Amino acid sequence: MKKLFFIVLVSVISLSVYAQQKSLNEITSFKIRNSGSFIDNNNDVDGYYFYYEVDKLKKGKREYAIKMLDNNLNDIATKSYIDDKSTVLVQSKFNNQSLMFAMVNVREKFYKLVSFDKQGNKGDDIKIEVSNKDVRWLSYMMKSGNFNLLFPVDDNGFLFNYVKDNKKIGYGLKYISTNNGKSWDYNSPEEAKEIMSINPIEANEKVVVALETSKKTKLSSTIDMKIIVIDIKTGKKLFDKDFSREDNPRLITNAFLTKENNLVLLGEYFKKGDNVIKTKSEGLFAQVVDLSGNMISDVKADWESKINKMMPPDSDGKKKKNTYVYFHDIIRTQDGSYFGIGEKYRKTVSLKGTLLTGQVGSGMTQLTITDAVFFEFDENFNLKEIHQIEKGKSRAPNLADFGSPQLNAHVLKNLGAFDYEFTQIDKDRDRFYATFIDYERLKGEKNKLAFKSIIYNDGALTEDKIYLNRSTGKVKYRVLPAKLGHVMILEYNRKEKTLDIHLEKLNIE
Amino acid sequence: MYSKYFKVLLFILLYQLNYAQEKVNEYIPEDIDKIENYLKRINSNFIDKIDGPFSSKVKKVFKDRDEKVLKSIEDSSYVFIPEIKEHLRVILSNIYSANPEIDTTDFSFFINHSMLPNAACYGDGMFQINLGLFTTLESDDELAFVICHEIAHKYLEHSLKNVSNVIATINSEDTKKKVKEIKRQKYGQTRAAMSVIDNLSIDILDHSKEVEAEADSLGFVFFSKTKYSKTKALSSLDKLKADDDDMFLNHHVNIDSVFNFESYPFKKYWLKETVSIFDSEEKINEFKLTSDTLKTHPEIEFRINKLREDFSIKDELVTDTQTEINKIKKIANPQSIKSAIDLKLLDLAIYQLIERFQNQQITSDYYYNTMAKVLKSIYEAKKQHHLGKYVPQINKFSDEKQLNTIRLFLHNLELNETKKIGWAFCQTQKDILLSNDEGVIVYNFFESINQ
Repeated sequence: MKKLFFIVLVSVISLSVYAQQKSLNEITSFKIRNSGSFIDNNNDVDGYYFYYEVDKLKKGKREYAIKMLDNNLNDIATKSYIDDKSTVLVQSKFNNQSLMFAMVNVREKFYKLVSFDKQGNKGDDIKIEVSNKDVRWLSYMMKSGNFNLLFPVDDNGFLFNYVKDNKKIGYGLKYISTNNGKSWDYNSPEEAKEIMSINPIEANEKVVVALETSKKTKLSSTIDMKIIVIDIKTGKKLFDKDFSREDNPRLITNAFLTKENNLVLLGEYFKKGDNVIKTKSEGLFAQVVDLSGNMISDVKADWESKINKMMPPDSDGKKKKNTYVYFHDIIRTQDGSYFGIGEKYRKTVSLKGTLLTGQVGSGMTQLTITDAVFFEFDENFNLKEIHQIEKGKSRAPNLADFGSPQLNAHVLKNLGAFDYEFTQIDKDRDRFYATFIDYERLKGEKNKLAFKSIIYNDGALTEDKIYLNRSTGKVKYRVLPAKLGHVMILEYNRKEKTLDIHLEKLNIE
Repeated sequence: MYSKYFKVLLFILLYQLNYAQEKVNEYIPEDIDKIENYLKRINSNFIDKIDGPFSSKVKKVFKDRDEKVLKSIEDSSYVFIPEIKEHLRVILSNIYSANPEIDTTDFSFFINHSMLPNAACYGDGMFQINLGLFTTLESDDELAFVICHEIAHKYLEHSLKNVSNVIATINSEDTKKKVKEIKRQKYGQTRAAMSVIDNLSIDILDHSKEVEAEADSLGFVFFSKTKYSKTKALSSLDKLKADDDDMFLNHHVNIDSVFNFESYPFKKYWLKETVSIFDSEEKINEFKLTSDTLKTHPEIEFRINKLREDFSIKDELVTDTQTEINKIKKIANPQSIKSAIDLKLLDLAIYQLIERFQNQQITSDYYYNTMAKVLKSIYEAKKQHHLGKYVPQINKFSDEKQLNTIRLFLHNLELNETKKIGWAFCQTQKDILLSNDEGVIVYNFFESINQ
């Protein structure tokens, strides 16, 4: 409750009201450049930021304001920041010790890392020179999804992952310590003949685990994957695990470091020579490796002998041929069990496409996305159960009628065609919250759009639902990630033109 | 045939009558249209008399203000309770008869549901007295002084003068010149304009301090002519000092003992806070204006001393105070809680329930029945994902530490925990709840969802 003042004469009007009047208001309004959230590796939102342009200064400089809100949407700080007129704030992360902002300036060709400590004091800037080509590639990588420009290492530092214009396109991985440790750089070889990129997927006070991908050309669909493990204190590579197409093709979905400091790699495995992007996998795997690179175990669950037998029919009761599962995430709970979170999909004929064109060709087929599935494995990666959550069908046009369903699914995933939204992991309470958008078709009722959360708690899965179209369409709802176990609900009232933002806890019954 | 039509007509008539009656409550009185028309009329009378420089702009401010008041009435921000209205009428009548020089023709007092001890003068004859004044002040004498202070504002036309002054300052040649100069500046326009706003704000706030002190003085003159005890002007200000010193809403609620049950003990993590981005004790703002740090009214301590010195008021024990307000408190206290529940401000409802129960201002029956009802509302709001819409999240910079604790508790509670707390509460107070219809409903509700 805002503090009111005793025996107020209502005529005491804040000047800001009058500043709304033309001239002063026009001059003093901050122009918003962009906004975002401080979101960590578990999709837990630590806060929100707004980047404003405040003033024009001499020599092409600008004064900016960075407004920060905590994870409860309270205004906690507005910092002044002066930089070039073309500097854009791209991403920001928090590691429990510092806030780090990644800035990009395309015109002046540099990346800049700007940090603030827990008292709100600004640290020394880190500037990295780049070329136009680097920035173009960076933009392309970010759009293609799963690219962490900034990766917070809790209580240790930050990893900054960027594109480098080598002989071909390479990468640079810069570690900035926030606890007086050593900062270092790990770069791809300058003479490398492939297009290479790196994506940190896990890190702790000992190591950084990153997924390196390489391909011959931009349009090539053959991708080789390699897990690289780096000593966080020195920046030296400890070992790598090669999952190339020729020898051991695997699609790494996630990686974890256990309490014993073993590395657990999770994903799908393929036949030798198969393309991980185009082909149906042989099954799922969990590989455990120690920090010297020695394999401790490599357990597989194949489709044919294990998964298909346990796969339930679709929620309409039919077991359809050529149904695949797209895995969005594979996570490990604190009790050691694993959950593969996916959605069923299959290639179907598009009636609309056929009617429109009247012939076979592009646009004739589509991907039909159906139920959500949760593959539950025990601590030894034995498949225990496949939990199926009923979800309305979604359809996405195939981008190429003759491409494999898997290739189309990968492309459509990056375009946001699947209903999966995100998964939050609560390590303290051994929970996860996997979220989907569901279009419910109900008999005798109007169809409803719902934000559905599947929550793992006390060893069981429960469901929570938020409908997104209430008040007969006058109010539009959007649900976004928020602090752990919560969502941010935006309610826009089209009639009254009001926006109501509130945080709500996801419900466990 | 006619009989059939007659029945349909009768049904429609009865339905409308019933619907109309349902809509009438303590927030929406039966004569709401009359009240709204009256407010529009007094506002229009007031606006018609405004002339001088920038009069159209001044008129617009008062017109907008009236529209906001009307909207607030429709949004249930005011309460219309006959007993409180009558109590106020008696005090006003005493003040008016002792001060015949005051033209009270267009005066109208409304009770806002707010629990904050506060009052306001809108300038056109409309005054607002918060419900919180009835629950905080201890005598009619104290309330009469607050009212006299507000009437003094109107008598001195502070509202009109202040609005006119602000508009004249904003539109003065000097300000226009400064704005023109800023616009000519190539660099740093925003900071320069903010500095102009800051200086103007400081001037206006300085003026507002004088205005408050002036209203205290004249208000005391009006007050001293009444039958009410003079020294109560000082005690009135003293009671409201709590708000000024951030003491308001700081009663220790001990949430961990209120919601600790043998069958369902309080859990420590219900009061666990998340890691904050910054450790600073206050909000960091590198664009803060000096005027943002100034208060809009003088410190109450200063006002008490000024009144005491200017009018040689002596502190003396007064025994013959008018304490009719105590009867009103019995209505105002539950009404303040009810308003919080009706508006779904469930954090405020819990705070008031605990505070008033611990201070013996409400009965134990009322406390247990109402708390059970509030727990049901919390469960329902959580179930619908609505709680965050009405109950703010914890804010580490808030002065309202106790309210903050309640908010933290409410938002940390999970739905299944809420139902268990509700049921544990109902079981401990089974006899009280099962002795009335509403209590039975809540008891059965928690019993059914806990099976």
